[in-house]
Amino acid sequence: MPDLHWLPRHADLRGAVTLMKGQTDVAPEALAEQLARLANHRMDYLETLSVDRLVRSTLRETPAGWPEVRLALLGSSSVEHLLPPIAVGGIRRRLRILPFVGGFGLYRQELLSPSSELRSFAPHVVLLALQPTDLMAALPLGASLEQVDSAIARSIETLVALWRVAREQHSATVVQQTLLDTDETLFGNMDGLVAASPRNVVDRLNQAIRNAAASEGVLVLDLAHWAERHGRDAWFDPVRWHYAKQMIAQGAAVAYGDLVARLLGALRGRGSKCLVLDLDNTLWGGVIGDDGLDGIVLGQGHAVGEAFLAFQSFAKRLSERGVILAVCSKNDPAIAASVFREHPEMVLRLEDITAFVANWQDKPTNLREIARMLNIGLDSLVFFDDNPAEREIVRQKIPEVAVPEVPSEVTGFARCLAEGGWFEAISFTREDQQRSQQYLENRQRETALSSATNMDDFLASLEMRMIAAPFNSVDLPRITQLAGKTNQFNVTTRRYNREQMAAFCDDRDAVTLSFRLIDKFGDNGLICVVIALPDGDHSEALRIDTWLMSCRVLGRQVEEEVISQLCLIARDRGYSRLIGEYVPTAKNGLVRDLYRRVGFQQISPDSETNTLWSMVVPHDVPYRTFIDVDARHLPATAV
Amino acid sequence: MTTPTDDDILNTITQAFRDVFDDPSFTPTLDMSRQDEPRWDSMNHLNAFFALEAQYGIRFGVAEVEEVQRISDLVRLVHEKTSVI
Repeated sequence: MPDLHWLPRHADLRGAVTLMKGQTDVAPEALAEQLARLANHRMDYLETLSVDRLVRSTLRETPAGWPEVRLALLGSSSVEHLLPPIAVGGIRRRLRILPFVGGFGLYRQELLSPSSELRSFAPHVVLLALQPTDLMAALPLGASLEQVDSAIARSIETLVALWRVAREQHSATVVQQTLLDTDETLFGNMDGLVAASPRNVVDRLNQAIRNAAASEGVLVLDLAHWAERHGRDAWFDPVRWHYAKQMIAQGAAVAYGDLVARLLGALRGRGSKCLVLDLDNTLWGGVIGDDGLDGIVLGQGHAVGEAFLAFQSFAKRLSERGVILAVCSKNDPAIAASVFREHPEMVLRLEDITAFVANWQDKPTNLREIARMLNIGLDSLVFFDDNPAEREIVRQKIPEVAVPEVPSEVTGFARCLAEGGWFEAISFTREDQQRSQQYLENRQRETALSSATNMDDFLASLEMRMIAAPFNSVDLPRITQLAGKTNQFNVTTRRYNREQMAAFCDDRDAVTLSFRLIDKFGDNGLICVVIALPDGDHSEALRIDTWLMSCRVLGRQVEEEVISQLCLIARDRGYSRLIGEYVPTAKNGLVRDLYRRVGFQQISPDSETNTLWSMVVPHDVPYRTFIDVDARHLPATAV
Repeated sequence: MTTPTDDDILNTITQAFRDVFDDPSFTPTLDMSRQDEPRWDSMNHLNAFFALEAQYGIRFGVAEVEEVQRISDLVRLVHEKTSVI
C-alpha cells in the first residue's frame, strides 16, 4: 500500500485529535502550527478523515503567512473522498487548499461555459483527473499504428485546447493527471506489440500527455508512474469503481492527497532547497572517529558498503538537479573532512557539499547556522539523519525543518528521500544545473559559533533510563570490543584484552562499571565503560583508569551521571577523592576538557603525556540528571 | 484463530462507524438501517467497509456492498467471511 512511510508515526493520533478539539483560547497561529505538526505524521485514510474534520472545525481562516490555493478538481470519477487527504496534505506543508469539485463528467462545460460555477470559484489551479475514455473512444483492435497515432494526436489537440481555456479564460495553472490503466490484459505479453491494445493506447496517451505538457508549460501529476511503483491494485479497486466510481481507492487516497499537495506546495514556493546530511551511519557504515578510514563500511565488494555508495550517488544526482547539499555531523571537523578527501570510494566530495558543519554542538544550532550560511529559510532544509534522537530534537526545536523518518536500513534511504517529495520540482532550469556551484562560491566559510540552547525539555522528553552494572561475563565481549575501538570519547585509550578485563572483574579493589542507556526510542545498548582503581600514591583516592563512551549518546548527561555514580561508590568504599587522568591521542581531543566540565580541578601541569585531575567526593551526588538510573546490579551498599 | 462471536463483530462494526463518523458515542443497534442515520451516506458506507476490511483482513464484493442496508446485514457478512471452517 502506498502509505506515508517517510513520516514518523504518532503515538496516539486520535487521542491528539480529541485533545485539540477540546482546546479553547488557542491563538490562531499556535493552532495552525499544532495542526501542521500533527499532519506531519504517518496516517491511514480514516485517521486522515479525522484530522481533516479537526482542521475544518478549528481553522476558521487561512493562517498568516500560509499560501492559499483554490483548487478545482475536474474529471469523470468521484473525488469527494480525496478532498480530506488533499486538504491535510496542504496543512502538512503549511498551505491552505480550498477545493472545488466540478460536476461529474462535466469538465468541458465547466471550463467553457461563461457562467459556470467554476468561473465564480476563480481557481488558482485546475486539476484534470481524466479517464482514457474521456480522451478517446476505443479503437478497433486491428487499427494500425498510424491510425492509433493519429487518433492520439487528435485527442491531445483537444486536450491542449482545454488547457489553454483554463489558462487564458480562468487564469489558472493547469495540472494534468496521467491516465491509470485499469484494463486487464487482452493478449498477455503481446499487449505492447498490438498498436490498438488498451495497454498500448494508454501508454502512448500518457507519453503524449507528458510531451504536450512540457511544451505547454502544464504541470503533470504522474499517477501512472505512482501506480507503477506501488502496483495498480493498490490504487484502483474495482469494487469502489463499480459501486461509487472512485478511481482512486481509499487505501491510496492519503498518498494521492500528498502528491497533489506537494505539487501545489512547489507551485507556491514551499519546496525544499537543501539536503542536510548526517555522516556516520548515514553516508557510510560505522563511526569515522572510532573506526578510522579503513574501518568504516563504504565501497564495492561489500553489500552494505555498496548500499551506502548507492545512497551517496542518489544525493549526488539530487545536487546535479539543483538541490544544495550540506553536512551536519557530530564529529571532529578534520576527521570528518578526511573521509571526503581521502577515502577512495567516496562518491560525494567536499566540493559537492556547500555547507560543511562538523562539531560537537547540538544539531538544531548547527541547522540554524547552515541556513544562515546559505542565506535560505529553515523551511528550505531537509534534515536526513539515521539517529532517531537527533531527528526528535530537530522536530521539537525547529518544526519548520523537514525531517524524513529515515528507515533503519540503508537500502531504504533513497526511497524514503525520493518518495517523501520534499524536492518536488515544477521546472528544471540552467540555473538549477549550476546552483551548487554558485552557492559554493558565495558561501561564507565560518565555523559554527557555540551558543547555549536550553536542552532541559528535550532531555526530559527522551525518558532516559540507565542501567549501571559491574562487569559480568555476559557483557565482557561487548566491553572489550568497545574499549578496543573507541577512540574519541576515551580518556586514556588503554586497550585491555578479554583476559585483562576479566581480571578486573576478579579484583575486589577494582571498581568496574558498564552503562546501558535506554530511551523512548529504544535500547542504545552498552554505551559506556569505566574502570577505577585504588590510587597507588594517595590511599584516600580512587583513580579512574579507563573511561570511554560511545559518541552516539553525547549530550545526554551520561557523563554527569557517571560521575554521580562513581561518587556514590567511592563514598561507600571510603574514598574521599576521585582522580582522573587524560592521555592525549590524535583522536581524543573531544575529552581534553572532560574532567573540567564534570567538576574536577587540574592537579598536574599540561603535558604531552598526561594530565591529572582531582575531585573531592561530595556528601550528596554532584549531579541530578534527566536519566533515571537503575543501579540494582551494583553491590547493595553502593546504592 | 477462533471465529469471532456476533457480539465481537457488532463491537468492531460499532468502532468502525465511530471512527468513520468521528463520534465516540455512536451506538448502532442490529436493526438500524441506512435510512435511520443521515451520516451513513454512500461515501461513509464505503468508509465503513474500508475500516472492516482493514480490521478483519477480508474483502467485500460489489454485490455485498450494495446489499447491506442494516447493521445486521454487516454482522452476517462479517460472520460468514471470518468463520473458521
